[in-house]
Amino acid sequence: MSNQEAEWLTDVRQGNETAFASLVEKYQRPVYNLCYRMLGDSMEAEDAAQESFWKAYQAIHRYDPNRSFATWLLSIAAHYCIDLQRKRKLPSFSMELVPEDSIPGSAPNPEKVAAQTEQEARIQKVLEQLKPQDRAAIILRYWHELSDEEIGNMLSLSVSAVKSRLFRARKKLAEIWLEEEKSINSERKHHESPAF
Amino acid sequence: MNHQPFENWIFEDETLNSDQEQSLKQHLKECKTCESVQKAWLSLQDKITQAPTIAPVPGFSQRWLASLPQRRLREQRRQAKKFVVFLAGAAALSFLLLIGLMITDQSPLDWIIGGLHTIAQVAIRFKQIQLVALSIIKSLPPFVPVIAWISLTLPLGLLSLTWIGALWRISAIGVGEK
Repeated sequence: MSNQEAEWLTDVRQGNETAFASLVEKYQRPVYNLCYRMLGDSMEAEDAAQESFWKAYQAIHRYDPNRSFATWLLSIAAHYCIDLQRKRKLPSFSMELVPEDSIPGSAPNPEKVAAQTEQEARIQKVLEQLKPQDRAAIILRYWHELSDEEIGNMLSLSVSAVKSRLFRARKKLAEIWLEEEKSINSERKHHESPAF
Repeated sequence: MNHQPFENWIFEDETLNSDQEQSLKQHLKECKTCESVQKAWLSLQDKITQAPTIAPVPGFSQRWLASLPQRRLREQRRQAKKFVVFLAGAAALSFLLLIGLMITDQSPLDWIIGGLHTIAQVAIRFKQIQLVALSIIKSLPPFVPVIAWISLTLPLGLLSLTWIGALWRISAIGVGEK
């Protein structure tokens, strides 16, 4: 934790909400990304990320400074998104296109942007097939590069439970991806056939 | 065909030793199922690791700060509702306990007689208070002006209204709202 961050946290504990806004500014991207990958909709992700920061602000006196603030914050966001998914039972991915300016280094080249947004949509579509907790484990591993132990602490799971969830999630993702590839290839062949 | 332990090796994070790597390669040559699943996973893993971290629309922290008063109000209302529910629950529980005690202690007939007795007592007390108040008013000297009555009843009425208003405010909005 940087000195600046420790200072902000001390100020927040004394009731300084502007100091917490600095923390929001610093961690908005990882928290929003986690919510977006979990929920698949930018409006819902915005609401969930804002709510996660509010929950963190309210619980700041329970934060243990020996832990990483980022991990604590992501844990709050992950639990919030998992609860949201459970409440609505059926996932409702909107398959919306990711706004161009939210992708770092996105080129103005329309073809490249179209390919990127299509790929994003495909990734979101396969993530949708996973159970909320498995999805959270995959997102935390691949987008936030957390270890099994860190994921376990965040999702209140043992290390072996994290390993088995990741294993199950990877296997399922691979099977879905394989099916998708097959259907795309067969569609291509269908369009390229001499009858057309 | 038996896909174990090769399936585990494909999807686990553990690093394989050279012997394991060799036997996995051999298995993938012979098993088309494992080969296609591994290819699919490696391709997806590659795409996931290349997928960007999505950022919110600019102005996220300002929106968070701007939403604070609304969130505080919502939290206060939630706590006020919880408090009212707690009070109502406690009252309901006490009432049920009382009924339970009465039922176990007395026969239903005693209970009905007791209830009727209480109602009659309340009515008698009310009548007695009314008589005492009337006798006090009658004993007052006739020269007490109407203006004195108004100056006495008006503040009392206003106090009652303030009390009702404060109760409503506490239950609807909560304590601490400015």
